[in-house]
Amino acid sequence: MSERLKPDPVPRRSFLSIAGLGTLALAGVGALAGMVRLLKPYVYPEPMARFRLGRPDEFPPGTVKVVPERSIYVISEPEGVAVISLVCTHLGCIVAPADKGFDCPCHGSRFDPKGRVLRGPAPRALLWLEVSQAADGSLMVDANREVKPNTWYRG
Amino acid sequence: MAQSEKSSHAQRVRDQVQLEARSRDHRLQVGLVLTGVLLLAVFLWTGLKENVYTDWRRYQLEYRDILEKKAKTKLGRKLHQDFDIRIRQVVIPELGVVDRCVSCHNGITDPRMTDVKSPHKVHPGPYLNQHEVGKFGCTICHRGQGRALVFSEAKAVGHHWPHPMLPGGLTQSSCGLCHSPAEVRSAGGEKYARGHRLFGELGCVSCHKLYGRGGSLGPELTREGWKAPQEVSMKNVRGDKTLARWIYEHFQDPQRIVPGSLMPPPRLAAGQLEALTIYTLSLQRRDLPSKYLSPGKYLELHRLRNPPEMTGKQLVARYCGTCHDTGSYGRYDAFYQRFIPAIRGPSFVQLVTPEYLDAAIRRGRPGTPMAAWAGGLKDNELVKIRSYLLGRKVEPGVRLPPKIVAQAKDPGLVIHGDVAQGAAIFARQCASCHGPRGEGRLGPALANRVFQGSATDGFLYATIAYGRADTAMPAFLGTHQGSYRPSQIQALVAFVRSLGGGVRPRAKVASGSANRRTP
Repeated sequence: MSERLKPDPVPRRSFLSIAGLGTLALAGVGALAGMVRLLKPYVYPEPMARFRLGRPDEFPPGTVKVVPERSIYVISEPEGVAVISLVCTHLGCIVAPADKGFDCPCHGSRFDPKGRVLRGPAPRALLWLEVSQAADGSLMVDANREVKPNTWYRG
Repeated sequence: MAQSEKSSHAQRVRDQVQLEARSRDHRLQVGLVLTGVLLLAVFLWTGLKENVYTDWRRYQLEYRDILEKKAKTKLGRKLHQDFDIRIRQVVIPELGVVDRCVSCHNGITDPRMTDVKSPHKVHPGPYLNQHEVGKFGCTICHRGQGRALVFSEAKAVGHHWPHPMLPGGLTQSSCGLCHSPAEVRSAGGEKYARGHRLFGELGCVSCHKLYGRGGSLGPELTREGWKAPQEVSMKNVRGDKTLARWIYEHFQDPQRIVPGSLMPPPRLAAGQLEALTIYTLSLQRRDLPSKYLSPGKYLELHRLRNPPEMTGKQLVARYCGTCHDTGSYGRYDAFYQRFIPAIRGPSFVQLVTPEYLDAAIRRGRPGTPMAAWAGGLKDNELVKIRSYLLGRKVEPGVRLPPKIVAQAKDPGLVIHGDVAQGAAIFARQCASCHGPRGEGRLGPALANRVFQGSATDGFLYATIAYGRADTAMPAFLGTHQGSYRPSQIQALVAFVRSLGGGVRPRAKVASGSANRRTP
């Protein structure tokens, strides 16, 4: 009986204490990590940047079309289809297609038909947006993806 | 040691206590470890389930494999190459749509996805050709909780979400959000159009209002199809506790779903039940942006809010006919267990004054299925109904003596009689239909305030004496067995008048001055 009262050679109980507290602490860290994770959602309920433009046959070569609700300018030429954003690179006004290029109504920036800056204060050319195709063949535009000027999409 | 064991009993007790304390300590520590491990496991499991092993991720990985197998063309290879694993959604702020259905249903617009299993399949039918997913979303037609990423939550049946997903067969009710029935009758909306026709044929507007127009016996139905499950009592619904199921079972047996309901069971075949349920579900009053409405829907909504002019005959057929039929004869209604008066009956139209009809139509008969129509129809329409009813031609055979007719139209005339004698005859002859206190049973209620306030003494006398042709009300004046002398009929009039508690028609003001304004 007295043998059992002797302290263990290996401190089993303190190991248990450490293990117990350790797992609890880990679980606590896990819970905290979960809570911190909640602060950054996977998605926001924002309107989608990628949208359908239409069927390719709606844009035969030679077509020039403004889509006002999306603030884009669609050009179709023999080498393909391209979409230029109508958002001014200066302060975000919507530029208006003019005789030769685009005019910004806010601060008078002017762009040529390919979106290059003709007159300030716009710091850079209008954005060319990525055109792609959906499974059913529709042309899609991604307003969040910029492509190099003079990139023409051919299906 | 053996020595100390012997030497002190107290020492032994101390040892014992210490031992027990240590073993308790030990148990606590093991418990602590187990709790910690358990908690860790739970966090690990939920963390992985929420972030890694999600349904949508699994489905997208499956779909990517399908895309790879089907990548035969340049476009196909590009689609496979561009397909990244992420939550996909359709957001349309003007419709209030945030639909993540497309996170699992990745192939709905891909015409190649015909031979794959759900949820990768292409959307059936040609519907997405006219209704681009990016412009309409999914829940606008299917309902359900679009933000969910797990099917059971997206379906939202029994989850206390306001608009659970519609069962497949009922989805065409959503056509009615933007289309008129005629427009989609042959384009996938057959049942919706059929339900619309049934709604008219069954005379639902006789008791229910649509955009403020119609009867007042039942509740208005303008947004009946957009009620949340919490807005109705699901207690007696046998199937899913959804609005669609509630409407369906309610049409099967209104009194089972709503105890005490005044609605006669529509007695419909299964196909009709479904069609009427679909039409009812289409009544939503969502006020969608006008660019979503088709021209036909625009016109339909405009007509509902600004109804075209109807003739008195059309109005009677549409709003009164459900109970009164043509109105030219009285009939027994098995559901309400009473006779429905002949509002265009030959005797009635001869005796009745415009004021009497006006009161009956506008204020109804409180306590009976005849509800007040003031407010349910426009003023000029109520006048048209009145004129149409009064305009009935009376055949020579049923014409009443001119003196009797003149008396009936004189509100000033007071007929005196022996009330006690009248009471005795009433108990014998009238109480079985009109109730011992005139409260109304099979026949109309005579103690009714609106009735007493508009029926003249002459009207009562003529009705009792000559009866109502083409109804169950017999004539009591005569000399043969079981009929009565004029004085006895006067006694009856006096007794009936006594049931009104002093209410009687007001004597006419000098003609012409009634509506004239004093300067």
